[in-house]
Amino acid sequence: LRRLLVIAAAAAPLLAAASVSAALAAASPPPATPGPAPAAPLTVAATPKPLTLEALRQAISVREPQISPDAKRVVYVRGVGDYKADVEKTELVLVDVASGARRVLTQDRDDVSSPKWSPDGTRVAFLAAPGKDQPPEIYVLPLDGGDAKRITHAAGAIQGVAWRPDGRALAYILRDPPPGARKPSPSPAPSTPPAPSPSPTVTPKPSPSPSPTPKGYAEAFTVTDEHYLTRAPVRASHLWTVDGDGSNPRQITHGPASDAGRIDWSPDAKTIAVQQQPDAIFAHLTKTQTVLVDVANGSVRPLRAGTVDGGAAMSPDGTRLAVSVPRHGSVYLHHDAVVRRVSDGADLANSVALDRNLAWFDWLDDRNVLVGAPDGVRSYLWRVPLDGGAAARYDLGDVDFGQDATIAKDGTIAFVGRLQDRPNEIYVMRRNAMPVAVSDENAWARGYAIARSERVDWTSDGMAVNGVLTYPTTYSAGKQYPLVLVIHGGPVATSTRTFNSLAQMLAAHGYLVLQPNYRGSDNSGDAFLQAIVGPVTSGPGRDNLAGVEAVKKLGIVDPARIGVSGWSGGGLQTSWLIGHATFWRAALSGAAVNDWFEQATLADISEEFASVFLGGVTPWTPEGRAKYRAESPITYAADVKTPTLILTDAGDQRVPISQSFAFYRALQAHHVPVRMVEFPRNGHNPTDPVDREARIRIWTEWFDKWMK
Amino acid sequence: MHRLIMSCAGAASAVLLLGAAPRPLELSDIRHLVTYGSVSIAPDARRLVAIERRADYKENRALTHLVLIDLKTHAKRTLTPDRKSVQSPIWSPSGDRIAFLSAGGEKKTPQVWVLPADGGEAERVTDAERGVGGFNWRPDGREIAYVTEDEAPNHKAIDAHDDAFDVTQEAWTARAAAQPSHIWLIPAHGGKTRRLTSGTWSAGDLEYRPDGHAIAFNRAPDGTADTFLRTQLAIVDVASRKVRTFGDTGSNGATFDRSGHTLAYARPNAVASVQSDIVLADADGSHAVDVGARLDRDAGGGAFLPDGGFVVNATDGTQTRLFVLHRDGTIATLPVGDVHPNGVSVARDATIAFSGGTASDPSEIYVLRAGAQAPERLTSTNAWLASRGIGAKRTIAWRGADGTPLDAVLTQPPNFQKGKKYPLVLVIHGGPTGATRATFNSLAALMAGRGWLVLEPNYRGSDNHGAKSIATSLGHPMSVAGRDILDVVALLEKEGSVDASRIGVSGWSAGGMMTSWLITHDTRWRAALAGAPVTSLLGVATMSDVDAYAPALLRGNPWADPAVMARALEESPLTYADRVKTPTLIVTDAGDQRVPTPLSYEFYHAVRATGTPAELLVYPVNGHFPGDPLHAEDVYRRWIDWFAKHF
Repeated sequence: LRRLLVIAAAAAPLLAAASVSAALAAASPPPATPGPAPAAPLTVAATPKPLTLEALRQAISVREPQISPDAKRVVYVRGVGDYKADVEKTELVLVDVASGARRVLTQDRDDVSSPKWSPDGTRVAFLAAPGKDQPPEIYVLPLDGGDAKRITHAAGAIQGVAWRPDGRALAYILRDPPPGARKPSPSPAPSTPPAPSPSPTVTPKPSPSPSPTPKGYAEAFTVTDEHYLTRAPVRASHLWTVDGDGSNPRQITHGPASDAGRIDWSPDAKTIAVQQQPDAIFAHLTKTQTVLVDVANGSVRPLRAGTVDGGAAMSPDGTRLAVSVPRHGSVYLHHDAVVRRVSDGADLANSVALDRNLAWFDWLDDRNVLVGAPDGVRSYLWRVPLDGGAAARYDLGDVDFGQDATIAKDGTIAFVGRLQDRPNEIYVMRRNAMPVAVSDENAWARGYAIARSERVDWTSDGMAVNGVLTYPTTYSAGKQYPLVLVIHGGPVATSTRTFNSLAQMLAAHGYLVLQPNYRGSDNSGDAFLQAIVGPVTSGPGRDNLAGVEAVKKLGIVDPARIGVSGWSGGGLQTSWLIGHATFWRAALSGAAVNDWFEQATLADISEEFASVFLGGVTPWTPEGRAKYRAESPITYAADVKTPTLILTDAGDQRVPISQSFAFYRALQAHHVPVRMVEFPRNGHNPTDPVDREARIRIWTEWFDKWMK
Repeated sequence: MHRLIMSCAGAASAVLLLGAAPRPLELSDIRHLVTYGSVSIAPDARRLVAIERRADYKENRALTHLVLIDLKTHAKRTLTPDRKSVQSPIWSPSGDRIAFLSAGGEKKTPQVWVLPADGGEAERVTDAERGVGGFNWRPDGREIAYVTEDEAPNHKAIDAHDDAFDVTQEAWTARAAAQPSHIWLIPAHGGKTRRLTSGTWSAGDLEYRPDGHAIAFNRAPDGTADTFLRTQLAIVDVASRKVRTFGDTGSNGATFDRSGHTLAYARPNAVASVQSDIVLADADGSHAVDVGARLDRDAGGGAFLPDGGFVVNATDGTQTRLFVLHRDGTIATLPVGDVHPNGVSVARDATIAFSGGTASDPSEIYVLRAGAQAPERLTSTNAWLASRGIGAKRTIAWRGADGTPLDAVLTQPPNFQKGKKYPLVLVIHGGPTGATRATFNSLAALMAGRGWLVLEPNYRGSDNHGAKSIATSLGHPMSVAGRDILDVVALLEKEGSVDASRIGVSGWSAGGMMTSWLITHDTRWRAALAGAPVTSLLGVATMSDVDAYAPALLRGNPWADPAVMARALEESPLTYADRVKTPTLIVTDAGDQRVPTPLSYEFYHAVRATGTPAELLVYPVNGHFPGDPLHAEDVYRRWIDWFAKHF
């Protein structure tokens, strides 16, 4: 259930992408460990080479591991940066679990994702773009030989693919075409005749609409909670089914409500569980709930009316749903797994006692739900029995659970493993066994010096706080090193001690790197997460300053050379910290929330996100406005003395760039050394290989300039 | 002439049609309007060329053609029938050729083309990779100097997708670093180019000195669009390439008289920097005489007469006039009747040509011969408008609270009857350094056609009564202007024709700013439409392509000075959004670089939170006002429909 995507999309990465860890790592990624043969990390090698950006180009991203129903094979998506074309090249890889033999299944396809085994294990469905700049369509690949066959001709954004239990049809979610767009039809409709030129003498009373609209003309539209870069009216997505041979595409749901998330068929194929929000406006993901769709007539009933949730997974017997339920009513805060009865929505069991923020979950079997979540500076997997027994944590050894997994009928799990000394690999774990790597994509990392990361602990405002401290690659005891804070976004996210490209590059440049898990991080239970609500900026600011003090006490920090940086929520912290302390030697504030009012009125997550984290306060009263101001870094910009680099994507819908501009102009006006750099891209993070790499380069160069 | 935050007037397209019975002007009529600009008269005064602008609603684009008009016969013909975009025609000094910019041919960017005036097709002269931004003839007609943007220093990295860029004065919509433009020379028949200037500063608006050995130009500190108030003047020696910079910051638009002894340029008025004064000086910039300060009107579009007088146009009250400035400080007025001239072009015999509108005609071409008592109209392209019922316009003049002379233009419904009550719509001009004049205005005419009174107020900050009037608004642009507008509404109400229960307020840009101000400070309005509204001056100072404009209006940079910051907030409608009781339609382009789109979103959210009906309408286009005919027409349609719905 990365199905939790909704949550992932909702909770974690909201501001998280910033979490440099999440963002940077994911793409030019991450972690590494033992290949087939458990690797001997840092110890052995002769003289490992220092890690460079060029070396990092070898990093391969592995994701979406899909284990075959018989647990004998795994298919996963493999992504590698093509730095010439500046795109990620993707393909499907098939692994035979027993022999470890791997081969590539797809050739020359773009944007490959969402592989799904057919229930009988003979075919794999997946999404791929049929051509450059075209939205992905569904393909089905026979595993006994032959090219994949294209199943859909939807020419629209498809998300989610799910085989019907009999393997003869698929369900998927497709975004509606723009209003007025011709439905794709096999026989092209005759083109409309040219319109008569407007008659100058006849004018109906109500002002006339322009007759035929020329190509490329798009009507003006009204917006409500859409973000400030919106260029077209939102369109709902709806559930469809199509036969396995591509015939009979059929729209199942209709209306303004928009479907999303994981698609789960009931064993009798009569019902589909899916996520639905009342309309397609992104900000309204906060109103998402699990619904049950009658496949025959398209009627929809909420699993439990009047509630919101972050996704669901159906039990193998189809009688229950494990649901990601926000504990405080907001999908932006802590989630527990709750098992609900399909028939009436009644609660049967939950993971409340585990008290970890759900990042992934699925059914191990009809009696156990598996739950993945961060914990401390690692992330783990637990088994939650429905009989009320205590949640049991799996022993994954040195491997962290990557919150991306599937489970075979016999309970074998394939998952993305996150490692300390190389980017991610795919692991398979049989019942009662330790996980085994079935990919070795990032073996290249073995030849390089990988910096060591450790957990550090401190207290702040009486709370226990932790973080990840990464040592310079050249570290030797007794010496002092410059320190750079790299603060994650979210704020509901966690920095773990796994391989992180940015932290590694900073360490390779001789820096200690501290990634603090300030209050609001989701690695220490609900109370700690919840402590951010209200003092959304000031509270974490104290935690992070205390973290600096704690690390200084280790005696390895050069106190004259401490820098601070972060993206998104981490940029917010950076901007805040340089307005509240002047010991920083340099700062890098990426995609920063600098003004909560602008964040509330311009972002795709709109007013609710700000309001939730500011403790239910809106900016529409004088007191509320004062609160927004008090928690906004821009208010303290005149106090900044630190040389600062402001970084952002030019088209960031999540953290509106007006805030970067304001902070930049303020620092300029106060003659603080400041530079603002934009990536000419849309989105909250640069996602193309070249700009992702450039971000790390700019980041390290900025600190080198001021701290070397 | 810094009308940066203004709305564009309606576009235009023309078909001659002889209407049946006079009926009010309607939206479909607007499709047939034609406007003229860039008039250039031949040195011998026998012919002129101009740009004729129409709109192609089928292709949804503006069409610009170069037309030639014979001054004797008034015969007009199109010189560039198949080019879609033609700009900036300039006669060669001897009058045998016409150079212009066009993006036609295989080059998608504008290039200089030269057309023989006695027959034959135009030939492309330049081949500038990034297009030509401006050009001029060397006085001997054998060379052309032009301005083109430099290639980015990191263009190789950009080509390899490594395209992050540093922001300096760029607008929030920027997707690449602005590059400076520089001057290049090329033989008039094409050939080898020679770069004349280089540097991180940027050159524009160039003109040869009559001896051909030097070129005067505007020198901006960098390549961003925000050269407003930041340019200086410079002269480059063609042989040595030596550049000499002079003039106060904000000076621009140097032009030489025929002898080459005198130089005219515009510079910011000392009292109100947003007003342009014309300065006459020696050719090297010395011995400057600020004749413009004496004129004390926001002057633009100047050209020298053979006798050394400098002709400019400027708005005076609600009329545009032509003034002749002399270095001895004397100022004369030229007779233009009821025509509102745009920029002028002068022939060797002192014939002055210009395009201009009147109260009933948006645009025709005129010439004013030396000594004549009135201009002669050469075109009657929009004459068909006479068959439409177009409401009368009149100017309402009064004195503001501090004695400042103020005025407004009232357009009445076509068959206006005294004693009857009419709904009233305010349409407030943008700028704010601009002014409503008593000229044909499509939107006002259409609204009057609906049976409404349309009031277009000028206010302190408008540039039609001199620098002092503007200066009284600086620092407090909104509160001062807001008071003036409420005053004139009260004045009009006293006349007895206004239905007080149906008064609407609207405007685009700075007019949208005033609209947002008025609905946060008065509740009499039945409905409001705020187009591209400056709801926060701070937002303009922070994100606009003309970010220097807000500090000029506020008398300081809010980010540098807490007192100015306080003033910026005090003078921003957003601060008072919780007071709005008027149903409000907010309209913006999705990618407005001038009045940043976020300012519309913020105000919308704030008004919506009060429970007052508010809508935010977005045009999925870039720019400060939709530039394509269909969207522009749609703005008018919705503007009118919004008030129709609420009246």
